[in-house]
Amino acid sequence: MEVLATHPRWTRNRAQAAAPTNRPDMPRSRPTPRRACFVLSAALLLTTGEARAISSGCELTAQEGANVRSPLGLARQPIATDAHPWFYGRCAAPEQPFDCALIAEDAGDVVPVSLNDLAQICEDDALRLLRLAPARPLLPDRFYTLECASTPILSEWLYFSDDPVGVQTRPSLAPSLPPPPLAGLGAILRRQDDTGCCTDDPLRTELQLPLDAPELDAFLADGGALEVRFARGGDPWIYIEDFVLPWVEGDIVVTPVAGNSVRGAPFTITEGTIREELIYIPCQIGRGRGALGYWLALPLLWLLWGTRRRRGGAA
Amino acid sequence: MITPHLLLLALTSAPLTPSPAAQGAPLPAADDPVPPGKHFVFANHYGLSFGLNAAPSGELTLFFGHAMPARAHGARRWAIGYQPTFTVGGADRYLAGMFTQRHHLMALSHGGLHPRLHLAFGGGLVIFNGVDIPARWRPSVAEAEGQLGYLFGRHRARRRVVGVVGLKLRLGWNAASLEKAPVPMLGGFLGLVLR
Repeated sequence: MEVLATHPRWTRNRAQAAAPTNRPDMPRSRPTPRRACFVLSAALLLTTGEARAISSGCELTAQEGANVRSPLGLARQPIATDAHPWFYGRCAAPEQPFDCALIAEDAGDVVPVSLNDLAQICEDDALRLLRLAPARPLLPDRFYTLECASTPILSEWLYFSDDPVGVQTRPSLAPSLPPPPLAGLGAILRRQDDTGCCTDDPLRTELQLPLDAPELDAFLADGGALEVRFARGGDPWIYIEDFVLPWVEGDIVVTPVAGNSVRGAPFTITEGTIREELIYIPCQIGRGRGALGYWLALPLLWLLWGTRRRRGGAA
Repeated sequence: MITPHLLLLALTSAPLTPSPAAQGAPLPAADDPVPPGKHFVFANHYGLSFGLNAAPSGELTLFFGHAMPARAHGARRWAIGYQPTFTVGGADRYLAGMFTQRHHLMALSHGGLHPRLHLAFGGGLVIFNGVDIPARWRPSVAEAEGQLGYLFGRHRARRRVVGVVGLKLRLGWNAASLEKAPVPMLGGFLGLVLR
């Protein structure tokens, strides 16, 4: 047996022949895995501190949810007296006439309203962006409720909201700000969880407004909106703040629309300039800074504990 | 009085000499508890894995393998086998990844120059089971995995079963969600290996 063990075929090199073994009377082997674990853990601890939230999490991507941002609601900021409030709805009963009015009961002011492009809207029952057009400007600093004798429009939000449906006008008579020229707009395709909480799409479109555009900020704060149309066609989406748009391919056309429905010059975001996130990072990672790093501290604690115990045993 | 029996014993007994290992020579093959030929190899790990999510995942890993014959005494041993892993938690990032199955083809290694070093690498498929009941199966991720471990156990020089503790690193590409880059996952594990 001794001859076999020292035969060149059975010992690849001198280093291997002299290598430590598992025998209790032999020197302990070098703790290579322990060192590797330490280096890897320390490196990850340093890097995870730089993690930032990339996604804002699950948000509404269906047009049904868009009404929560509509000017028709108490939560919205006051609108200009010449504004055309928008909301999403579908033409569920095309045979019925549209007979509605905005009524300020405390002032006894009744303003008949019409619906822009009603005939086109009632060609089918698809969910569409609708704009109310008052027959004359509203009174300043009043709350108007929307009341209808008959309407072909069905909007889930209008009928199932607990709050009174209406608009609050601003104290001043200043008209809505005109649409500004758009420049510097971009878009990015954000990743999202496509298997549960949001939609089946792995991506969603997010508009990116220029950081330093006070004119555009004032326009949006005044009740103006950005209408978004996709090259594939379909109805426009309205963009306010960080509202989520569906995943599309192709160019994106953005049009500023003032509170009084005056439309500005469209701006096209070409498909080639639209960036895409490579991977999906859940929203939780940005909420607690370095949360992952704390978990990674466990191997370090194990290393520390093991080293102390070994030193104590050697002493 | 020296009897013939004692004389015979004195002549046939070996003198006191240092052990072969102390002289730098390799140990006889009989000291290695791992059979030199082909045999069944099994491993069972329990661990935690951490991905790009604050919530980690708990894991149960099994390995059913077939050992390659020893190329030489004292050389590193290899086993090829199938490694299923069952994961519960958020490390896979997607909601459907709360419950996953991993089906990997792995090569597992031990012994040789560093007898306490456990190595394993391989790759396979990850199936997201979602949170629905009955679960829907969605093959989602193609991934590679590497394990770096430390074999321990008081009787590891005599027994085939040893403890193992270590780290595992995965790189997975979620093709089902059209992701464009692989995502790492780091985990720790503790378990047993039947070598």
